Amino acid sequence: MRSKVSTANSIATILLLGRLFISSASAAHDHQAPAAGNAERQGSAERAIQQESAGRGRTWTSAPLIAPAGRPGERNSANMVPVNLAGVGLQVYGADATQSPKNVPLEDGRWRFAPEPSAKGGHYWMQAAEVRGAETRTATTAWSFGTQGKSPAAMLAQAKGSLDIVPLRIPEHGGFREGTAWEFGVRYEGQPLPGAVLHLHTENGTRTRVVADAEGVAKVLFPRDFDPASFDKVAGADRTRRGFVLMTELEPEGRKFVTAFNHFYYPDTMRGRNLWAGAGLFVIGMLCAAPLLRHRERNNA
Amino acid sequence: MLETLRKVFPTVSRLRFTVQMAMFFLMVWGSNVVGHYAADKISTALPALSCAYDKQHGSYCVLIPLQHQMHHRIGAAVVKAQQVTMQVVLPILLTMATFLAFFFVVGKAFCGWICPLGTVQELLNKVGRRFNRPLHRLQDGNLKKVRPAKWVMLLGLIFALPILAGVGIAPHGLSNPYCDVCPSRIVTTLLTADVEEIALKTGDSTRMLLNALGNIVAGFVVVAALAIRQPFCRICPMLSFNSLFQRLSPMRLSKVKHESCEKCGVCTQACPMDIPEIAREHGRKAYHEDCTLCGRCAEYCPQDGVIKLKWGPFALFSSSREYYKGRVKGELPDGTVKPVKFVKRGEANA
Repeated sequence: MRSKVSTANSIATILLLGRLFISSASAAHDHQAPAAGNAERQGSAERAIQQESAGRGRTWTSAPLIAPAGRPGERNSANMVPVNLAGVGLQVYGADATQSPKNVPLEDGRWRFAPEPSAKGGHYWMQAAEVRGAETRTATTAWSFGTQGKSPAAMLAQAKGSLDIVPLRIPEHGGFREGTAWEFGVRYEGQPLPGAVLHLHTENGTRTRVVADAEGVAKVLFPRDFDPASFDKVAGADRTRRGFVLMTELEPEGRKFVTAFNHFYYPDTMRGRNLWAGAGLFVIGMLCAAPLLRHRERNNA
Repeated sequence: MLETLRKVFPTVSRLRFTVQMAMFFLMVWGSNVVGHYAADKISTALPALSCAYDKQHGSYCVLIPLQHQMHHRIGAAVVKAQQVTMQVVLPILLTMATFLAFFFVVGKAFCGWICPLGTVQELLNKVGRRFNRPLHRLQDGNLKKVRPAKWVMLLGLIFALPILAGVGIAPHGLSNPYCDVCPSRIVTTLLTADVEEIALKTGDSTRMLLNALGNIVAGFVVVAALAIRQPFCRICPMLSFNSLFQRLSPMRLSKVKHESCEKCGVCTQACPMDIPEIAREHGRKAYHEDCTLCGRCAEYCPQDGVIKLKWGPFALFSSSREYYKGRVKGELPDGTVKPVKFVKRGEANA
């Protein structure tokens, strides 16, 4: 139902070509380089952030996180570390929902995961849960390898824990962007959880909350909280990113579940672009061709 | 069944237009049907300028992965020569295999029947013809100057610069230089109400210059298409890339020698790429590297069975005098049609 509405909205959007001349609000999407997956496009400056992010995570949120900690240039494997989570194993779900998740042990404070050669790459779902008495703290994240794999639609629909926060769609072209809204489903025991409260914490310091609708879907608007001074000096705004986490809690029958989904978000692409300059150059190109419309060719060659 | 098809598609042009429009919707907005993930797409190595920057596309162009592989794989591997392994070769082979699998079926007809930028240019030219704008044709002198440009674009922008950027000799901003100047990136994203790609990238100076050039080229192509048929196709690296493999596909143009060809030349007039060889030559030479297999030359050839669109041994369409007589009633070989009412009828052809 939701996807039909989404499709109808997309078609309506297409018809509103007047939007072409409205600048940033509608254009706040990523699209730096459109190849197979996120890892393919990570610049070296961006990769260097990964190693620091684990340490930083402890300071900007108390939510359990699965943070990337790979070395720069890592392409075919994922090195992850737990943050605000005691030493537990990592479960990795592949795009093929019929397969059982792979258990990755914590070794030297890290989880090291590489997809099977037959599975190539694509999208994976990572989950680590720590049980403290009656409380279960679960950290989740999505990871994408550069090599194209299967569609993650079935993987996202699959119930993985008691309390799940799942993006309805994993971004493939650069990630979540500030100023854009993304839908996240909240499920308990595989069923939608209407009215669930999601807390959004960002590495840039934003603290906000979103309430899931009757279908258990929360529409999260990523805040415009990037300081231009924080942009990567070499790679620019397009390759700068910060972490965010969405967290929710549920206390059924004397038990307590705390579940978090963490990932990265990026600055609005239009921060590094000038619409009017681009449109002006386009018009200059049109004007250069305009004589072709007025003057008849005399010599035909 | 065949009769019904003939009624629905009385001409090859009508059939081609229908295919073009269906493909156009698929290439520009198709993800709403096939799905949003790369894995859902029809192909990520399509032999047509279906732009990957368009967030609603149903499939995308082979030039994107090629540039990325040149940059990330080959460039990096040259730096660390010992790492030239199957991890480098295999992705490139897979891209090429996917491309060839698609290309085998319809060959260069991807240019003439499927490419969304080709369709946009063709539609614009129809508008220009309806409004009685002049038609500028490229003839021998200009053709000789323009034809090498598509090879320069392929070798320079798709292969050389991305590799040099990967090695570290060229700036990182040259990692996918063709996409930065490709008009399809701007035109198809605008069609999805996305202004991100027309906006000038201001961060990296190399990329900013390329983007500026791309915007000027896109603007030029949009207006020039009103008066020149397929202006960008003539320098498109996809055309040269496809022509590298054009003999591998069973889909091809076939022409036999006929005594009236030298004086006639109607096929060249009908050709949107202004290829004079189709009138002068026969056999292999008539199927020129610039041919997009649109089939107009066959439609407008007034001689029975001289020009054919063939798939292997099967003739999909064969020229005939009867067909030609009917075809010229609606549209002249050079695309001249009856102008809209408020436009004065005048000399359409310069």
